[in-house]
Amino acid sequence: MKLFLIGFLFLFSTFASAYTQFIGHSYTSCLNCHFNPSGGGPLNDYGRVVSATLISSGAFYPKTWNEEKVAYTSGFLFRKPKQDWLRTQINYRGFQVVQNPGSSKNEQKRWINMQADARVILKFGENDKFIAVGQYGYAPLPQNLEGEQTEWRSREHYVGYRPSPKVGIYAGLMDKVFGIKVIEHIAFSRIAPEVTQNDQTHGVMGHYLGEKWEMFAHGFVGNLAQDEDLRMKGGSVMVERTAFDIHRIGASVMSSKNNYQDLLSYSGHTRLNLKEGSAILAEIGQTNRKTQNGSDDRTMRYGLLQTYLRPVRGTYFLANIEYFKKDIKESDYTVRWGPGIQYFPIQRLELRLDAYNTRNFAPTSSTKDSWMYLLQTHIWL
Amino acid sequence: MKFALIALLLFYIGCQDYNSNSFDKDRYSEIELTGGGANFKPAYKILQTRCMNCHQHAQWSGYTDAQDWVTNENLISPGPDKSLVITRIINSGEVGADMPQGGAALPASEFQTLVDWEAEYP
Repeated sequence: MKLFLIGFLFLFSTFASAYTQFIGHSYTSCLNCHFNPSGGGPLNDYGRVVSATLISSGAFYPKTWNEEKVAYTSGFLFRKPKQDWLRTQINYRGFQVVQNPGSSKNEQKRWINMQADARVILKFGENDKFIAVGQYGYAPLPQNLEGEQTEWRSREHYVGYRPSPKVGIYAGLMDKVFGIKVIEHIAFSRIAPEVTQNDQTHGVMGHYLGEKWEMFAHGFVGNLAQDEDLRMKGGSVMVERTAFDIHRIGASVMSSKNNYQDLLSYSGHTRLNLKEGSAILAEIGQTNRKTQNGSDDRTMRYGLLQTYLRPVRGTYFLANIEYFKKDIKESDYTVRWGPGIQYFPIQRLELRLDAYNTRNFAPTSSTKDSWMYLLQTHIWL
Repeated sequence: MKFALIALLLFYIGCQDYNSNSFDKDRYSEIELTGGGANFKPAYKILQTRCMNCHQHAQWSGYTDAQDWVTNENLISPGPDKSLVITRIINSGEVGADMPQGGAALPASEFQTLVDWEAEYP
C-alpha cells in the first residue's frame, strides 16, 4: 500500500499553483496539483496529499499518525474517495482588512468574505483524460454594485481533454493565461493587464508540458455573461522553460480588446527554487492601453518581487515588493511593499497576515504613506 | 455522450459578470458634457479614468452637467477646499485621505486640474 501511495505521489512530475511559491518544493508546473494546468481552482488528489503532508505543519497531528495516514485523510471530508470519477471540494477564504492601523481617527476595519464555493470535478478515461470542472459559490461585489448583481455565481467552469500527459486542450470559463498567477489580486502585475480574480473569460486553451518547456496558448471571446460591447476578445501565450532542473523562466504576451479599449500586455518572469520550500518570484511587464475617447491612452509598467522563506514545515515568511508606473512617460511611480507570514497549522487550514505600505513618488508633490494589513483565513474541505 | 452532456451543462452555469471591464463604457466612451467652466471637461475625464471604475459608476458617469456634482451627494461643495472629491484624494495631504484605494496617487497635474475645477464653483 505504501508503494502504491508513493507511486501515486510521483504519478505527476511537476507542480505549482495559485501558490506559485511552491516551486520552492521543486514543483515547477501547476498541473501536478491542479486540474487547471495554469493553476488555481480545484486541487487534484495529488495536490490534496501534498497540501496535507508537505505543506501543512505536522505539529498538531497525533503522534501515532505517519505521513501515509495523513495522506489518506486528505480527501473530501477526510475520507478516501469511493470512486474514481467524481471529486467534490468546498473552499472558503475571508479576511479582516485594517486600513490606517493605529490611527484613532482613521482606522477602518472590515471583514470580507472573499470566496465561498463548492467545486465539482468529473473525470473519466485513462489518466483522467477527460475532465469537467465546475465551481459555484459566493464572491463579493464591489460596494457600488451591491444589490445590482448577484453575489452567487460561477467563476470557473470548463472541460478538458488530455490525449497524452504532454498535451491538453481546455474549453470554458477560465482565468486568462498571463504571467505569474500570484494569489494577491491587488498586485499591480494582475491589475494592469486585467487578470484579477474576476477576469475569467470564455475561451479555449491549449497546453504543452515537455521535459524543459511548458507552453500555453489561450484564445478567448470574453465573458459571455457580459454585454457584447464589454467583452474582451483576444488571446495570450505564455512560455516557461525549466532552468537547472528546479527553476523556471518565462514570458507572456496578451492582446485583447472590446468596443472601448485595446490592451497589449507583455511580461517576463522567473520563479526560483531556494530549496527546502523557500522561493523567489519576480515579474516585470508593461501594458499598453488605447481607449476609444483617448482619455486614458498610456503604457503602464510594473514589477513584482516576492520572497518566501520556510524556516519550518508549515510556515512561510513573505516579503513583497511591487513597483508601478502608471504612465511610462511620466515620472510619478508607486512602490508597495511589506512583510507577511503564511501558516498552515493543519491540512485544510491556512492563516495569513500581510502588511502593506504604499508610497507614491512624485517630483512635484508629496503624499503620506498609506498602511494596511490583512488577516486571512482560508479553509478547504 | 455522457461527457458531452456534462460539458454542455457546464456552459449554461451562470457566471460572474463583473470584471475589470465592467465600466469601460463609462470610462472610455465619449460623453457629452454641459455647464461648468473650462476645467470641467478635463476634470470629468480624470474622474472617468481614476474613480469611476469603483465609484458609483452608474451615478457618477451620469453626472454630465457640472451642477450634478453639487446637487448629488454633495461631492463638490462650493467654496475652496471643501470638496469631498478632492479631500479624499491622497495628494490632498488631508489626514485619512485614502483615494484611490490600493492604487497609485494621481499625477500632480491631474490633482491640480481637480483643484482648479473646484475653484470654478462660486
